[in-house]
Amino acid sequence: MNHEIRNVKIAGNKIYVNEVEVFALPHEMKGDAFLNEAFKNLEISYPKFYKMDNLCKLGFLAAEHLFITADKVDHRNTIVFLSNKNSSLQTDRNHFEKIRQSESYFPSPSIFVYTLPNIVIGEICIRHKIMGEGAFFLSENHNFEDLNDILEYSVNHLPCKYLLYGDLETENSEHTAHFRLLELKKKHH
Amino acid sequence: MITPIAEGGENNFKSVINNESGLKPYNGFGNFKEKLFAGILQNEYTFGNFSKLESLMIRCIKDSIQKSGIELNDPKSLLILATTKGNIDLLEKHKETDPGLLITELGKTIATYFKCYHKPLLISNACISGLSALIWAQRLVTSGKYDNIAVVAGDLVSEFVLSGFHSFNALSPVECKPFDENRNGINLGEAVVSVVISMNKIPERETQSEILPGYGSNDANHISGPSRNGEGLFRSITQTLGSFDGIPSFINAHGTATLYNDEMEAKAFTRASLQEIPVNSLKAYYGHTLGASALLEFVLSDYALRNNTLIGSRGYHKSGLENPLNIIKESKSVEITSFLKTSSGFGGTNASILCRKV
Repeated sequence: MNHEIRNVKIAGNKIYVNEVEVFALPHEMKGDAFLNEAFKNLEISYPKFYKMDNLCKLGFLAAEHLFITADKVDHRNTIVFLSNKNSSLQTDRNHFEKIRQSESYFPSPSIFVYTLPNIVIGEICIRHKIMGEGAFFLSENHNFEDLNDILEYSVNHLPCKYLLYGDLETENSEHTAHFRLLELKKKHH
Repeated sequence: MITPIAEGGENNFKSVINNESGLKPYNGFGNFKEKLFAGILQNEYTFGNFSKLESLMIRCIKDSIQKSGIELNDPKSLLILATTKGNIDLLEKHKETDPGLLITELGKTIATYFKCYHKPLLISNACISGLSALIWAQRLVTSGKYDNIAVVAGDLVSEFVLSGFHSFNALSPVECKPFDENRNGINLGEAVVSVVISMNKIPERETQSEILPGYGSNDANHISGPSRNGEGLFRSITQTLGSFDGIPSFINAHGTATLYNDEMEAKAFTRASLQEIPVNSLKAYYGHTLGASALLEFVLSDYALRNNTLIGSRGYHKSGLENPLNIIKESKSVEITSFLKTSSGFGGTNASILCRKV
């Protein structure tokens, strides 16, 4: 049987690990504040966090809580499949702001690189040295429901030991994520 | 497929082996005022209320499902759509609140047009998007989940993307030169490609192609820079070739013509002991068509396989690689039994897939 090692949920300025609240901020604190406070609360040194866009910060936080005590995970054998509805739209708009006026035309490479939704997978893989397959899917439902084909196939056929999958969205200063880490027990591997 | 060179796979293949390129110099593109070399479609193709990309995708899917005789309203059929930026050009066309900006809406529009039985599977995985889509099509067909999967991949040239790659200093002002010593960056291009992956053989075809399982691997190294040792690509290739008992007749590489990407690929191929195998990049014919690139190049490589032709790696003259590769200088006829397609992209993402004659 496949075994869920843990799951992390982020919603309403709160972080839950296996349904237990581990971090909360007053609901009035909006936008970047929640992400940055939640990061400080982890008490880790990772300056790259502050260069990330909100989607990557959110994914980083969710993955951090997912892996905090999961020492035995073989990260080279972990697959990461993530999804959301809005892709990287927030950062897309930021990049477009930089180029919309020809007289103040000044794109920034450090913004542009985040105009792809799968960059969050890259950030998580760099942080946790994950070298398995990664893919980003778009889905209106935030519960991976539309991606059942992907899950079913991965669990039954993909040669990997661990599967990190989930959904994450940053929209109107609301940050929601639901990540799950599964240990896969296959018949033929 | 619809590309700046031609419409249809057959026409594109013939043009490419005649060494025709769709890349041209331009003095700018909208608010993007720099000189550039790019592959831009000369027709608008738009019809009805559909956006340019939607119109192109519908036209391509229609063509490929008609040719293969499948229906997307069948419960055993699926549509997979791959793109990096979807309808991002709507931002530049002052349609900033258009819901079509979302890839989920783009997917819905296409699925509604074809009355798809299932919601389409939507993939946005940087420059390997088209290959990720193909890998999933192979998996979901061979596992028996679907009998037929239509895969469509497309991206447009936009101010949005041009300005971004320009800010990275990644654009070449002249035609790109993959794997060449004088390579100095990419050209962007636009294209839409659709293909049907089926359980069933194509009756009228003498030579059938079989797609074998492909795998991806992350570099876990940098979000925009290629890995110096090609680790992710090497791992992906090793896994994809793992259950294959032959050697591929050629490799169709990503070959973007940036200094670091091409070197990374050469390193990965050498580590996988593939440095003697003929290799090409098709970027000097089409430019980098982002999410469409790997599917476009796979389909043309499949024509090459079935026609026993190695496609010349346009733009290559002299090796500029620390790990020299066997680059195909000119298109030529040889016996081909299989090929390996690889792709790599931002986010440290890499993938590869094998295709062989049966």
